[in-house]
This record gives sequence, C-alpha cells and structure tokens, in this order.
Amino acid sequence: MVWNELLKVKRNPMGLSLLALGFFFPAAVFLADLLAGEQVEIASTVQPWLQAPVVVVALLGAYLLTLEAALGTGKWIFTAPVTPPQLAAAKAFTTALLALLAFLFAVGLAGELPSGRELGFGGLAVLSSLLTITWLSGLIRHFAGVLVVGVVWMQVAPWLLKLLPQTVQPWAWSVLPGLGLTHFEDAAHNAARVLTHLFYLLLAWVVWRRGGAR
Amino acid sequence: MSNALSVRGLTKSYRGRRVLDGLTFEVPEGAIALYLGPNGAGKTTTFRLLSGLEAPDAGEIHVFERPWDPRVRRFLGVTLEEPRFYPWLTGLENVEIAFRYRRVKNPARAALKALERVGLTYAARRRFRDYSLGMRQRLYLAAQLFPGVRLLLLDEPTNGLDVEGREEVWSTLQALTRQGVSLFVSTHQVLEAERFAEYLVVLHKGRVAYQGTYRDLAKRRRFVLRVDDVAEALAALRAAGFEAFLGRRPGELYVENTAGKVDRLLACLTEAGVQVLDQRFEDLEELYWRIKDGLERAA
Repeated sequence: MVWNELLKVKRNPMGLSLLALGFFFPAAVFLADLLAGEQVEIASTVQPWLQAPVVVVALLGAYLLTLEAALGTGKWIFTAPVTPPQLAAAKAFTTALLALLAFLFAVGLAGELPSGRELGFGGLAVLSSLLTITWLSGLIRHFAGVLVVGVVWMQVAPWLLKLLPQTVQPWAWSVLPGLGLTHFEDAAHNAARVLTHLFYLLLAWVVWRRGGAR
Repeated sequence: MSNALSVRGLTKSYRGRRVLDGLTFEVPEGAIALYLGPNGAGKTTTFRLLSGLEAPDAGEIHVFERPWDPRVRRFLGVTLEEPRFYPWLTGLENVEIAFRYRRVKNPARAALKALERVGLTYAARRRFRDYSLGMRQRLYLAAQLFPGVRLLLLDEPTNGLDVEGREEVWSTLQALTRQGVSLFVSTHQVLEAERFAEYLVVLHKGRVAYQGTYRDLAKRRRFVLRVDDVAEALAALRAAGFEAFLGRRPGELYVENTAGKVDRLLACLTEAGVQVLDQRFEDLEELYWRIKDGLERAA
C-alpha cells in the first residue's frame, strides 16, 4: 500500500513539485531573507528543521489524500478488497515517511540537531498536523479546497479568538480544529487539546464512512 | 449449471425515487451475460450494488452461491464506466498499483501477464495519458484480470469506442470466457447483444423485463413480411393457423411463432397468389423496443 502511494508520486509533476517545495522550504526562506536585504526580515515562526516536514504534510499530504477524488480512481480502488480507512492510513503513513526524510534533509542542510525536548514537541506537532490534514482532506476531498479552507481558517480563527475574553482564549485555542493541536508545549491544556481532536477525528471518520464503500 | 451471480429482490431508492424495484435475475457460470437497458434504466446502480460500492435498501446478492460480503471481492473484478488511471504512470505501473491493492504476489509480473491477455503488451511502458480510448478500456479490463478472478462485472466497456475498438474489446471478452471467467456486461447497444450474448438480462425502469438465453429470446422474434396484397396475405395466413397481423409500414405484416415454420408460411402465401417483396426476422433492437413498449402499455 505504501509502495503504491510512492509510485503515484513517481514522474508526477505536481507531486514531485510539492515534495521539492517541502524539502527546500527552509532554504527558500533563508534565500528570501538574504535577497530581501537588511531593511526587511523574512523568517518563519518555526525552526528550519520543523518547516520542511510541516510543509510536506500540508502540501503533499493534502495532495495524496485527495488524489483519488480528483482523478476518479477511487471507484475501482474501492471495488478491490481495500477500505477507505486503509487507503487513508497508507497515504498518511507515506506522508509521514516523506516528512521524516524532509526533516533529515533539513537537519543535514542546517547542520544542527534540535534538542530532545524540541524534537518531541516537533514530532507531536507534525503528527497532529498530519491528523488534521487527513480528516480535513477526507471531508473536503479536493486539494485546492483543503488548502483554501486551511489557510482561511488559520487567518480568520486567530483574529476571531482575540475577540474572546483573555481567560477563555487559551482553551479556545487548544480545542479549535487545526489551530492549537500542534502547541504541545502549552502543557496545561494538552488533555482538552488531545480529547477534542480525537473527537473531531471520530466525527470526520463517521461522516466519511457515510459516503464511502461498504 | 450453477450461477456465477444471483440477485433476488434488489431494491434501491435515491431521495424517494426508486431506481431498482425488486430486481431478480441470475447469471450462469462461464457465460457472457449481457445487461441490456436504456440510459437511466438503473444499470450503473446495479453495478454499484453488485460491486459493494453501495448497499441495497433490500434484496440479496449471491456470488458463486455465497451471499455477498467484502470477501467476494477477491474473485470479483469490476469496471465502472469511464477508465480513469494515473495519467503520468505507464499502463504497466497502473495495473501494478491495482494488483497491489489486491495483494497479488509479484504484482509487476502478474500485471504484465494481464496486459498480455488484453493484447496491450506492446504499450505496457507507454504512459496512460498517451493511450487511445480503446486502449484505456482494455487497460481497465487488464486491471481487473488479477490472478483468481472468476467473475467480471463490466459496466458499458465499449462506451465511446469506434467499431474497431468495440471489436477489440469483444474479442478479448470472448477469449476470457474460454479461460473460464464469467462475465456480466452492461450495454445499451442492442446490436452488440445480438452478436455476443449467450444470456440476456433486459432491464426496464428498474425491473427485469426479460431474462434468459439469447436463443430463447430469438424464438420470440416476429417474422416480418412485405407483400403486394396485405388483405389477401392476412386472410391466407390466419386460415393456415398463423398469428399474423398488420405491421407499422404499408404492405408490412408481422407473424408470431414462426420458428421452423417459415417454409410452410411462404408456401401458404404462394398458394394464395401473394407476392412476397421482402422477408426477414425482426432484429433484437426491434424486439427490445417491443418488449419495452409492451411493459409501458401494461404499466
């Protein structure tokens, strides 16, 4: 199953471009900052070693997870002894594998290893991003749709959250889908964070199954 | 002979509209059975239910005498309308992917063998996007020819193909039955049924209008005559015990149940001094429309 997903990236201009974008994202940020001159600073909010796997998950993950819907190949795939959750799991696993390669590539490029604690939180962040992308792609089933909804949500939701009382904001951050799940360093809200996102995952699975194969 | 497929009382509705209404039919093992019906009759819905993409509201499906469950997919190949694959991959790689989903041992070798069975070895390493429509249909078929396949459900496999493409697909299908694969093939092209069907299931508005061998159906074909004197011919034939009546066109007569009696029928007309200008058996398309019209009138 994983080999199948890797084969789908082979010679695929879109898939390979997204993969390359993920691998070279830290280098692109660095180059953009260099070219921008001293007046402007271009930087990412996350460390270079985390940028590469997160971009691979966000772009290639969403692409792979929505590929069958885009091409209409799901019809014959689901007439084989494979279920939609199995297929989604294979895609998520393949994305995780490529994200790991992207991390190693970024570490090799930057020449420095993150600390154990950073690595733990970073790994959890990538994993939770992958879960979010998986259920979002499963629901929307359209690559551009996933990107648009993801980007719009990431822009609109923080702005809306700021309208809430200060005491409620950290809780709202941690339980809103796709927003606070990656912030595991905020240990006080981790239980609510994990439980609500598990609920979202379950909800997405139920909705997905309703329209899926038997 | 046992049945490759047996369907009892299959019913399916979408938003209150009944698409299949107690569908019941059988497909004998080792035969090419054609599923005939106009667009919108419910053929694709039947295929979606048979392949397990959707569950029926009511009814039973048996595959090789065992009730349908996801395990029957191990020997059930399905193609649903348009062939869609990964355009940047070769035909061989696409079939290999399909076989990996079926956990076929040595999928690359099995894929090459499947391509050979549909006559696509020469294009195995050509990308799917460069395939013609006929080649795409045959590749779709190859993707279902995994080791162990016993029943193929093919939804409109010749749709959009030219005469040459249709011939290629049909000769491939005939070769498959010789290798022991049972086929249930839907089409709305009646003339294909006349040429290739051993067994027919005719669908009309979600119900089976006819099922049986093509030979039995052919016995129901009327004998169509064009004569110079219709009144005289009608009288002579009826007097001789034939069920004859006026046709749709001027000078045309239809005669029922003439199997094995055509010589006697023509002799009877000659004796009555009626000149026969044209004679033929009704073709399957005419018979199909007659069955359909009869059902509509009955409804």
